Amino acid sequence: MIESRLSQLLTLGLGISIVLSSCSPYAEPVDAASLYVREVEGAVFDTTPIRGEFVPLHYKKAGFTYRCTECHFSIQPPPRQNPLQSEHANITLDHGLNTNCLSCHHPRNRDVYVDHDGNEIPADQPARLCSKCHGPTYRDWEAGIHGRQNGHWDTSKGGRSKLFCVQCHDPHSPKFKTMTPLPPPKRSRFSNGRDSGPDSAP
Amino acid sequence: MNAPRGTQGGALDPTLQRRSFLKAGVGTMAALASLAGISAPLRSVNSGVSLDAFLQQHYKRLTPDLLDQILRRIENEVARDYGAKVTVRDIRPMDGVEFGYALNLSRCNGNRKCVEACVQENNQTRDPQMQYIRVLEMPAGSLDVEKSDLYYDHEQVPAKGKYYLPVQCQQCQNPPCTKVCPVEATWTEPDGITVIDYNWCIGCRYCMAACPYEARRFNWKQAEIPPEEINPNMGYLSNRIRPMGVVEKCTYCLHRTREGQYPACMEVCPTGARVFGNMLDPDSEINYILKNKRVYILKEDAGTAPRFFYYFDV
Repeated sequence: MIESRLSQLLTLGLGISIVLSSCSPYAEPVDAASLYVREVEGAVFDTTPIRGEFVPLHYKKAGFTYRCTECHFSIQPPPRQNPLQSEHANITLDHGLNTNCLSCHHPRNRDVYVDHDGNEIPADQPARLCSKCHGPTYRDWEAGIHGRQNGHWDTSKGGRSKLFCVQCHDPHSPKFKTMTPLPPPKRSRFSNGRDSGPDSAP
Repeated sequence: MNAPRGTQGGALDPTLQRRSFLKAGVGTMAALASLAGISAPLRSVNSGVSLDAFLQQHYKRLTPDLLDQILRRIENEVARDYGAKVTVRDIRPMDGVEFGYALNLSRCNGNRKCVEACVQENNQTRDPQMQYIRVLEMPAGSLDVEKSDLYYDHEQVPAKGKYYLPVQCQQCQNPPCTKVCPVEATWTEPDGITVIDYNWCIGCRYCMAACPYEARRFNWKQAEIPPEEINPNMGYLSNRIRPMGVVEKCTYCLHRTREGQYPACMEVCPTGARVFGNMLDPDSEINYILKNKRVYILKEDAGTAPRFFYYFDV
C-alpha cells in the first residue's frame, strides 16, 4: 500500500515538474510584426554569369546600334588586320592561333558569323560558331556538363537556364581570367598554425 | 519496508497509521529531493534547448501530427531567438531518385564561391565559423591531400602550379559515419543523402572520427546569424538553425534538391565546374559524365563508395 502510494506521489511529482519546466517561452508564438521577412527566391546568393552585361559600343551614344554593317557597309578592312583600330581598339585578341578576324566574322555580312563553308551563322547562335573548332567542348555543353546551369535538375519541376559560351568566355580572349578568391577559413585556435579544419573551437 | 498490516477494510490501528504516514512522508520528501537532483541538469539544459526539444522522439518515429508540432515549434524558436520569419518543412525523398555529384577539377579555380553560397544557403553559424566545403590547394601533378593547403590566401586564383580540390560530404553508399553513431541519429535516406536528426544527436562526434573526408562539423556554440542573412526556406533535416552541441553536415541542400532544384554550391560556381543530378535517370548529366569521363573518387581504398565524383577534363 505504502509503496503504491509512494509511486503515485512520485508520478505526481514528476508530472508537476515536467509541466512546470515545459512552460518555456519557446512554445509561445512571437509577435509577427517584429520579425524580419526575407524573400526566398533569388535572395540568398548571387548567380549572375561571370561576364554579365556586355560593354556597349562607343558609337552607340551617337545613335548607332549593335549592327556591325552600319560601319562595314562601306569600310572593308583587310582580311588580316593587326593591330586593331577604331571601335575595336580595346579588344585584346588572345585566342590562341586564331588571330584572323574573318575566321569567325563573316567577310561580307558583319552582323553574322561565318561557317567553314562560308555560310552564315546567326548572331544569336554563338555556340555553333565555337563548335567549328571546339567540338568535344560543344558536345559536353550540349549534354549539359560544360558551363554552368541554373534552376532545376528535374525539368518537370521547373525551368533550367543554360549559359552561352560568350556569357563566360570573352570570345576575343577566351581563357578564364584569374579571380579574387573569397577569404580563407579561420584557423582553429588549437591547430597551432597547422591545418586542422575550419570549424574553430571558441 | 515492512509489509502493511491491518489495512484490509475498516479503520486502521492509529499507531500503525501514524507510522505509515511518517514513512510515506519521509519517503516522499526523499523522492522529491532526489527528483530535484535528477532534474537539475535538465533545468540547466533548458537555457539552450527547450524541454520539448530535449524530450523529442527520434525523427523516424514521429507521427505526422507530432512532426508538424515540432516544425511549428522550431519556427517559433527561430522567430524568438533570431527575429526572422522562416518556414521549416519536412521534405521527403523523391521516388526513383539517387543523387550524384561530379566536379571537374580542371575547371575549378579555387575561388571559394561555393563555400560562401553554402554558408548562406544552409544557415551556418558565422561565429565560430563553420563551413561544410573545404577547398584544398594542391600541387599540380599530385593527388596527395597531405600536401594540400586549406588556408591559401592569394590575391588571384588559380595560383601558378596549383589546382584546387573542393571536398564536402561525399554521400557514401557505404558510410562509416552512420555505423558508428551510438544513438542512430544519422542515417542514409533512399535518395542517397546521409542526414542527421539534429535533435537526436548527442554530440559525441564518433561520426567525425569515422569520416575519412572530414566532412562533418561540430557545432560549438549557438549559431550567430544576422536576421537579414537567415535563409527562410528551411528543411528539418537540412538547413534549419541547428542546436548547440551537435554535428552538422552537407545534405546536398536537400530542401532544394528534393524539389528538383540544383544545390547552392553548384548554382554559384562561376566556372561551371560542378554537375549534379539523378544517377538513376539514364539521360541525366551526371550519368553522361559517369559514362563518358574518367571519374575517380577520393580515398577509394577506404571502401566508402562515395556518390561524389571528380574528373579532369578541359
